[in-house]
Amino acid sequence: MNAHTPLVDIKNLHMHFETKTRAFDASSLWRGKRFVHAVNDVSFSIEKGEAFCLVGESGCGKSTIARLITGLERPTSGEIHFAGQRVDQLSRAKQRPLRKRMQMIFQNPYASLNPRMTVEQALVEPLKHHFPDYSVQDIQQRKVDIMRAVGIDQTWSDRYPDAFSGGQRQRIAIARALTVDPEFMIADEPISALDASIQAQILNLMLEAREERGITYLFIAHDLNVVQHFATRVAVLYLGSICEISSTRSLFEHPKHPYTRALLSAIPQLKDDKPKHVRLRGEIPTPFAPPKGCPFESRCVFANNRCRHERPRQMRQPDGSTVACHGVEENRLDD
Amino acid sequence: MALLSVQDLSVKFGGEFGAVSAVKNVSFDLHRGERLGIVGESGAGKSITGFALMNLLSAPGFINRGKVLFDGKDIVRMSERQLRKVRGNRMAMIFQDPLVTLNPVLTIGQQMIETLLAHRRLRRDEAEFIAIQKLREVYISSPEMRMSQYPHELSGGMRQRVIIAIALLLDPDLIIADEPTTALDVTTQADILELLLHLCMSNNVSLILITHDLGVVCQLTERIMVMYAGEVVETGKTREVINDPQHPYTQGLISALPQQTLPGHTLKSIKGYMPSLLSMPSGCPFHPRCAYALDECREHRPKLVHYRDASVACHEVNRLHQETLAE
Amino acid sequence: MPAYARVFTSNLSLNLRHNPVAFISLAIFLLLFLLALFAPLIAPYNPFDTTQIDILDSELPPFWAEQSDPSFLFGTDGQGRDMWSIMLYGLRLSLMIGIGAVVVQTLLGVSIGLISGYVGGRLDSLLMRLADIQLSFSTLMVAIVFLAVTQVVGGRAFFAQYAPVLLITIIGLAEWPQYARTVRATVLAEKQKEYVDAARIMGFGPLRIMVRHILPNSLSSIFVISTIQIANAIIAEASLSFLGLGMPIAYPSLGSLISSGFDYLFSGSWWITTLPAALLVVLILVVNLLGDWLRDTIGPRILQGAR
Repeated sequence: MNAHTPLVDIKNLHMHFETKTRAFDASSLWRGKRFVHAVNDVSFSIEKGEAFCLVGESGCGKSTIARLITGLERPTSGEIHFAGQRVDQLSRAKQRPLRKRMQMIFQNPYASLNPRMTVEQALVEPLKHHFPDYSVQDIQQRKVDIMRAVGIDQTWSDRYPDAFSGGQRQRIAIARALTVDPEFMIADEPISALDASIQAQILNLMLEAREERGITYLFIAHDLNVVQHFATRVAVLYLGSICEISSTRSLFEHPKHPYTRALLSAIPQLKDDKPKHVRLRGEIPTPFAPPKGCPFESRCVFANNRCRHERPRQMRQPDGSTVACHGVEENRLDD
Repeated sequence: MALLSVQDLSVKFGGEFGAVSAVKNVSFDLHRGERLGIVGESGAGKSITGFALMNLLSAPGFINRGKVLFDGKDIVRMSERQLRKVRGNRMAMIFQDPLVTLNPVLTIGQQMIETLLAHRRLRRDEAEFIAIQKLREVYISSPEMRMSQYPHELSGGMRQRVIIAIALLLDPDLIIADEPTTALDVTTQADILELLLHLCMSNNVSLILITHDLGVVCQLTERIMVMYAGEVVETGKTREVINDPQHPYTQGLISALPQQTLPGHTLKSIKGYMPSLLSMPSGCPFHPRCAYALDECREHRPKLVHYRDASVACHEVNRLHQETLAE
Repeated sequence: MPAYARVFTSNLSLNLRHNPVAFISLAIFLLLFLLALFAPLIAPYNPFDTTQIDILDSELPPFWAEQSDPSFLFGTDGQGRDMWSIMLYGLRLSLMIGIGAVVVQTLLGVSIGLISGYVGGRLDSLLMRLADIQLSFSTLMVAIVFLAVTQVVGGRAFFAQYAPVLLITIIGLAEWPQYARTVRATVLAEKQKEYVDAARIMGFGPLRIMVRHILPNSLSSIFVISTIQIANAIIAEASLSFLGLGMPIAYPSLGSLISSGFDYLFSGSWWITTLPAALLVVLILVVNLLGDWLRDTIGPRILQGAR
């Protein structure tokens, strides 16, 4: 692998679901069989050591992208490269060596742990599976180390998940993911189901893992305050397409895409001097049959005829970010 | 006189292990047109308080003690018949999930007109006129068309607007909103919050907003009440409490927010976890997680002490206050 | 402590103490089970030992009637066998066949249901259509045809020798779709949960995920359906035996006892058929009551989806 190969490289990813198998909201259920374009021509790459963040509202395809990268689903088209190797077409057996290197933390810690497995069993199972030549002592040692690292008390070992609160379960889930010593971790809204005072604990834990183990993150979130704190780079998704990819700092200081601006202005703030809320037109369209032009066109106050007919491409900006917007390209968005 | 006066309200849940207290000694006054935010984490008792205010608790929960005076009349002692007159008519409630609140097999129009006809002597066309009027008030485009649609045909944001329109149908004096925007996306949430604020202010409606999100409380309310483990730990003017929290829990909650720390740095988290109702610690419920806890905190439960606009339940805050007074 | 044992120690036992019907049912079932298990020790006579049978003792009434013989507690049947002993042995056979058939059903149904639910796609369709076809024949019809053919082809002696095995096999084979459907429904529900995704991301193979992750979470529904199926299997066996296609009269189950006593019903020897029938009814009733209680206690949600 040469030094310039990104850890994760995603090229022109598409994912279409038949609504029969996966319904996105109640309304789509009533319309029979159609294709949902959950991910539409998405490309990005993640360098080693980054905390790359996907932001967007529900139904924008961010969780689907996570499932595609982990191989839980196969893309309709496009390529996913991990550490220089194309992974989206691999058989399950060939995927196995990758499992040690790539792990995932889920949103709902009440569903992501097997209710019939003790903490001990949950932590030991992956170790035994991936390190068959480890002795019993090795495995125990490793388990104890990880429990200590994520702040799990040794006395929890023999208990089942239902004995724990959400925050405690999320710690166990993180511990389980860390047992195989991954270098890449996908975190799908890992703290949004947790209480405010617990969110900070888990976020700290993930930051710690990043510093101490050099883990690269793909972090999926809708809470922009959390994103600003955690991410190094952010991609904003809308209706399965990327609007803007930018370093965290320039995204929050100079949001360029109209959707990014609306999103930023919508965060409930503690400060008195909150920026004026940029109101969007209309409602989010259903993800059936994606629009021919810009996906955001129907809600954008800057939309013109070109936006309706021509899909904007990602254009590199002077500050290194890329934006898919005709308005930004033509420099006609008033500030 | 206050529109709503809650005095020493306690709620218990009867279980196989005896009754546990879910809400303890909550007291507050709410004036006409005032907006109060009740903040706390899950299990803090904030939603149960909201239900108790409308006397909507279902078994095994029950109001153990206290009064809820609405316009001077005690809701706790009202008959089911009297309650029906107050609920919906003068008090309305908005829930987190609009799909649960709306009946899926009735059109928006049917639901609104039915509600109106149940409470008011109106002709059907009059009711329809009012319903359309209310839908327009919550900025629903082409309300005549929406009247004949079913809930599933609307988006999440639109449904929550309809819920708000239904809540406003009978011109209530008080709206209790339980996490009204938690299920919504950020941009939709911002719209709904703006709408709620506008409606409350223009119609002089009082609002009790129950939420876990401090940002939302800041935008909408004038006063705030912070709950922890079923007890009120701090109340005060929203702005003042957020800028200068007194109780260690409120302080911890605010400083744990990511925007309070430089990006990438360790957040100031509150250690430990909220106690379960079944195994409450002695003394102050927050003491096992509190950095300032002393022996007194472990032994005696602090009372809510009033200081000018605010009140705080903390021994340490009280001690500091006494010292300042002495000087 | 294994996962399934945990269920029993905590909520179930607590619930049991608050539910007199379930408690009494369980007590009766355990009593019957022990009686069946230790039948050779409890029974005063061995009904299969022809030296102990005297035809002159035939049709003696039970102890409360006149002309009863104190050495035969519940009287004797038409061949002079002790009713009490023969009922104990019959109960033993009925329970054995019932439980045996359910074991066969469980092995078949659970593996097919697991594979069908987890793998999905065409295999799932194929297996479920098979189940539909199987279900469209009634168990009894399949069993009658199969047993009748075996009797004719193998001869009576062969049939008598292998009757229990044949009954277990045929009842077991005929009813697997019940299991497969329930298990499949549970698997489909469990498969959606994130812990299965997490296991897949851990790189575990499908076999491990099915057996180690999904199966333990489906145990409660398997357990509930098992109790109901035991009752059904016992009834099926009794019906077949009553029709003369089950256990031969030399080795009678409760069903064949009822059947053989039926001829004496109108000659006044009512006890030969009614006593085993009463025992059968009590057995089925307590098993069904236990099944209902289990369903209400541990898996109402899952089973609603399956039925």
